[in-house]
Amino acid sequence: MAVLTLLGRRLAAALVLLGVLSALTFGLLAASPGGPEQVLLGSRPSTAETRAAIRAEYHLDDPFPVRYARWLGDAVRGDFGVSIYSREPVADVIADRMPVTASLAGYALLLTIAVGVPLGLVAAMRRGGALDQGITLAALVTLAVPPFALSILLLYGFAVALGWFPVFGAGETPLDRIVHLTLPAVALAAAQTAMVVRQMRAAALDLAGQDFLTFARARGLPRRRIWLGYALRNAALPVLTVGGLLLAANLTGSLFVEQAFGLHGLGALLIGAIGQKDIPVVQALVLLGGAIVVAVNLLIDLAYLAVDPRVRHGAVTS
Amino acid sequence: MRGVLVTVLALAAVAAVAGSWLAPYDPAAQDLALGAAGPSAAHWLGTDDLGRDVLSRLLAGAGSALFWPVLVALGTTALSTSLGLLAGYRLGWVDALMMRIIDLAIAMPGMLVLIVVVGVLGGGYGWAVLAMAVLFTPGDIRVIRSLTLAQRGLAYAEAARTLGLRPARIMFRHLLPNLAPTVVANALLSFVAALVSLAGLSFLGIGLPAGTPDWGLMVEENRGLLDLNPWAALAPVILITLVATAATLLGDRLFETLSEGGAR
Amino acid sequence: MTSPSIRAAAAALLLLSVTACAGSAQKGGGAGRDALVWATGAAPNSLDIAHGFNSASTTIQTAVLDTMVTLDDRGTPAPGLAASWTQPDPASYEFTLRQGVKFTDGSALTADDAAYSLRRHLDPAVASQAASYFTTVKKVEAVGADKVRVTLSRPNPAFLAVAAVAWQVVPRKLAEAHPKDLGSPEVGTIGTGPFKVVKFSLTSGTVLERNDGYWGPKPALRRVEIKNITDAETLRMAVRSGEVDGTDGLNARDARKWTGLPGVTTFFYPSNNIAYLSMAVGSGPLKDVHVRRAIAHAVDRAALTRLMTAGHGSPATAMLPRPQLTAVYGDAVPAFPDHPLDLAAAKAELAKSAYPDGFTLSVPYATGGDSATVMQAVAADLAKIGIKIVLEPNPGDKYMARVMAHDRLGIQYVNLAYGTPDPIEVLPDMISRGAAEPQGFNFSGYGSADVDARLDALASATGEARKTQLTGLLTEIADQVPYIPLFYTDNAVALSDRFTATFGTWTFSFFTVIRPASGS
Repeated sequence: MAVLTLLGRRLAAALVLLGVLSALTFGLLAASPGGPEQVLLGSRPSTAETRAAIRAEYHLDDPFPVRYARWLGDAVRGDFGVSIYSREPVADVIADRMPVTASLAGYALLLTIAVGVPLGLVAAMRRGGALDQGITLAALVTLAVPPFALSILLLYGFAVALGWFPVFGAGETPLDRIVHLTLPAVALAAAQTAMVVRQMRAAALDLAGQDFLTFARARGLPRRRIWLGYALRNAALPVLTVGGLLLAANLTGSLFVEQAFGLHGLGALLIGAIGQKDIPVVQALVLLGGAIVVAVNLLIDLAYLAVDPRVRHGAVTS
Repeated sequence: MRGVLVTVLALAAVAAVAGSWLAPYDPAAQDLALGAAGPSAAHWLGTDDLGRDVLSRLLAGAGSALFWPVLVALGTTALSTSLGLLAGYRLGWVDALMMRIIDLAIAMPGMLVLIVVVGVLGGGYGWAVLAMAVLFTPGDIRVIRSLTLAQRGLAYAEAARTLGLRPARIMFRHLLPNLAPTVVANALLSFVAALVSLAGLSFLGIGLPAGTPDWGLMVEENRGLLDLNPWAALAPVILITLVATAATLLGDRLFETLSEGGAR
Repeated sequence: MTSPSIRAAAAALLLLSVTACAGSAQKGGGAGRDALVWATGAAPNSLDIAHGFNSASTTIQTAVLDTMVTLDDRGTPAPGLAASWTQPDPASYEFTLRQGVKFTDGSALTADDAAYSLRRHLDPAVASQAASYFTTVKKVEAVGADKVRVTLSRPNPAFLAVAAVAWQVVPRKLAEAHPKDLGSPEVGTIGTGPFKVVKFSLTSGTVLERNDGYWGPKPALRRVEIKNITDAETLRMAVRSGEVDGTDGLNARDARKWTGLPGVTTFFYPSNNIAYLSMAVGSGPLKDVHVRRAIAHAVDRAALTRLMTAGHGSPATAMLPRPQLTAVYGDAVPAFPDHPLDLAAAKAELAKSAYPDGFTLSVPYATGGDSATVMQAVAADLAKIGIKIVLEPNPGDKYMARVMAHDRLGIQYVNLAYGTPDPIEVLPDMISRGAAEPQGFNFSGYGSADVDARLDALASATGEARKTQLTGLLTEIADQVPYIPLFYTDNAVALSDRFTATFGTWTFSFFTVIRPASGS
C-alpha cells in the first residue's frame, strides 16, 4: 500500500514539476530577443520572402500561449519536433548524444564510489591520524579547484605533456571509449569524490559512536570486521542516496567537462541549442533532465522502503 | 594550523579591499608590444595577451573574485536561516507549503536550470549571482528546519514558550544561537561553492565583462597562454583553490569548536 | 602511433581495476599516408548550402558537390560542371554541361538536375540561405539534354561569381523529395565531386572517401575524417598531440601559439575579408558625424592590426576586402578620405559635437571571441578622449542573435569573409536600407534613397562607370564614417608535417589541395 501511495504522489508531483519546467523554459526562450531565424538564415544576408516563409512555417507570429499549447499538444503525443539547427527529429538528436553523456556519467560515478567510499572509511578508521589528515586535506583541495580549470590542467598534463590519453573525442570501440573518457570522467568525478569522502567519513564517525558498534567492539571483533560488516552496511543508505543524486547530477551537469574535452554529449548540445534558440531541443533536454532527477529520487525512495523497515512502516516521517 | 588559515583569508581580504592600491601597475594599462611575456623583474608574473601586468590584475581582481561569492553566501544564509527557522518553529501550513516548494526546487535539475536561465537572459552577472543563491537556498532551508525541529522540543524552548516570549524572539534569540555552528559552516560552504562555480560560468561565456580584473575571468582569458606565460592562467587557479580550501577548513574548524561537546 | 594509446589503456584499466580484454584502440592520424584527420572549430550542420551556408559546412560541401562554374587562382569564373557558357544578351547565360559526369550513386548528371539545383534556392518553401545571392535570377530552365539557360531580371556582373560559390549541383529527385532536410544527417547528399560521403554525423564526425569515378583530377587524399572541436584550446592541443592532422579553426592573431608547435606547419594566405567597427547612426551620440569622426581619429588602428593579425594581415584603407578592391581598381586604388590616429583632431571633432566632454556608451560583445579583445583595446583608446565604453558580455551565439536582430546596436566589431571577388556582394549589405532591417548586415543603419539608387546603378555597371560609382560610394562611407575599416587578416591553416598543400584566397576545397608530404 505504502508503495502505491508513494508512487501515485510522486507521479503527480513529477507531472507538476515537468509542466512548470517546460512552461518556464518555453517562456524564457520565447521572451528573449531573437528567434530561430538567425540559425535558419545562417547569419547571411536574406530576402524578405525567405524571412516571411520562415516566420509562417515556425508560427513565430502566433502569441506565446498558442505556440506553447501547440508544442505541448505534440509533446504529449510523444512528438518532440524537429531540431531547427540540424533538421533531425529531436528524439534522434538526443539518442545520438545520450551514449556519450551516459557513459561519461556512469564512469564518473564508478570512479567516485570506488575511490570515495574506501578513502572516507579509511579516514574515519584512522581518525585524527596523518592518513586522515592527508585524505581530508586532499578532498578539500580537490573541492576547491574550479572544474573547468581542472579539465584544462588534466588535458595539459596527461594528454599533451605526457601523451597518455587522447585530447578529445569519445572513441568508437568500447575499450577506445574507456581510454577517451578517462580524463573527462576524472575531471567530472573529482569534486564529487571529495564530497563522498567527506560524507562517508562523517557518516562512519557518526555510526562509530552508536551502541551496536560499541557492543561489537566489546565482543572483541577485529576492527576491520566491525567497519566492513557493520559500519559499511549501515552507511549503505546514505551512499545509495548520494550515488543516485550524483548520477542525476552527472547526467544533467557534465557540460563544463564536455565543453573542455570536445565531447558531443547532452551538455554541449544544450549550450549550443540555447544559443541557437533551438526551442524543440532545449525543451526536450530540460524535460529529460527533470525526468531523470524525478526517476532517481523515486528509485532512492523505493530502495529505502525495501531496505529499511522503519521507513516502510511509516514510523519515520520526513 | 588555524593561524595559517586566518592568515590566508586575511591576506585575501586585504587584497580584496586594497588590491587596486597595492598593485604595482594600473591593472587595465595595456602594452600591446609586450603581449604574453613570461615573468621578469618588471613583471613578476609576466603579462597577458594585451600586455597587462598579471600580478596587478590578480591584486585588483581579488575584490571582484571574493565580493560576489560573499554576497551569495550572505544571501543564502540569511534567506535559508530565517525561512528554515520559520518553517521548523511554526510548522502548520507555512511549513507544509514551504516543504512542497522545496521538494519541487530540489527536484529541478539545478545546473541545467541555471544555464538555461542565465544563458537566455545573458548579460548581467547579477542574474548569475541571484540564480546561484536561489539554487543553494532550498537545501540549506531543509537542514535548518530539521535542526529547529529538534531544538523546538528541548526544555529551554518549552520554557521560553511558557514564559510567553514572542515567537520571533524565541526563534532568533534562543534557537538561533544553538544552530550557529551549522549556520556558520553552511555560510562558508556556500561561499566556497559560489567562488568555484562563478569562476566556471566565465568559461561558458556567462560572466563579467571582458577586461574586468577577476580571478575566474583571468583563468578563462589566459588559458590559451599556457605555452607562452603559464602564470597568467595558473596563478588565479592557485589563488581560487587556496582561498576556497582555507575557507572550507575554517568552516570545519569553527563547526567543531562551536558545537563542542557534540551538542547539535 | 599505437604506443601512447596502449599506455593510456593500461592507465585507464588501472584506474578502473577491471580485467583487460584484447582490443586495439585506434587513434586519429597515422591511419595511412593518404588519410587525413581534419578538425573544424565550428560544427557543420548541413551538407546542403541552402541550409548550411557556413564555413564548417561548406568545407565538406565543396569536397562532395561540384558547382556549375568555379573560380580560378585569380578569382575569375572558370568552367566547372559547365564545360562552357555563352551570354546571348547581358541578362542571360547559357551553360553547356560537361559530358559523361556521374553522381556517386551511378546516375548520370542531366541538365534538369543542374537547372533544378539553382531554381530551388528561389523557392520560399526551401528557405534557402543562399537566396539573397540569386535575387536577380528570374528563370532557370533545361534546354535540351546538356544545356541550361539562366535568365536574370537585369544584368548582374556578379552572377557568375556567386554561382561559383552557391550553385551546387545535386540530383533533382533527391532535392525535390527533401526540400527542407536535404543534407541533414538523416538524408545526406549525393554529388559529383572529388569525394563522397561515407558518414555524416553531428556527433562522431564526418568521413569522406575519394570518388574514384571523379571526372576531374583525382585528389591525393584517399580518406578524410572531419571532427569538430569547439573549444579553441582543446583544438590546439589536439593538433599538438597529433590526433588531428590539420585545421582551419585558428586565427592569424593566434599565430604565436601555433607556429611553435613541433611537427606542425601553419600556412597563412590572403583572405577575402574585412574587419571593421560599425556605428549605429540611428540615435544617441553616434548619430552625430563629428562623434563618429572623433572615434575614427582616436582608435589606434595600426596597434589593433598588429594585435589582431600578429603580422599576418594589413590595415584596411576602404570598406571593401582587398581582393575586391583589386578586382575593380587593379593596383591603382584611389585615396579615400582618412581619419588618421590623432588625439588632438579627435578632441577637436568631439568639441564640434553635442558631446564636447564625451559620453558613456554601453557596448555588447561576444565573450571569448575576437570582439572581446578588440573592444577592450577600442575602449582604452576612446577613454583618452572622454568616451567611456561599458562592455556588456554576451555568450557568442546570443551575441550573434542579438546583433542580427539589430537589438540595441552601438559600436560593433565585425569581421566578415566573403566568397566572391565582386564588391556588389559586400556594399548592399553595408549601406542599403533593405539590409538595415533585422537579419540584415547594415548594422550602422546608414542609408538613403539616393544610396540605394547608386547601389542599383553599381550592380549593373561595367568598366569605367563601375569604377566611378564604386569610388563615389566608398568616398561617402569614408567621409560619413558609419563604419571604420580596421584591417584585413590572412586565413590560417595548421597542417601536420606529414602533409603539405598550397592554399589560395579562392581555394574553397581544402581536401583537393592537401597532399601527403614527400618522404614521410
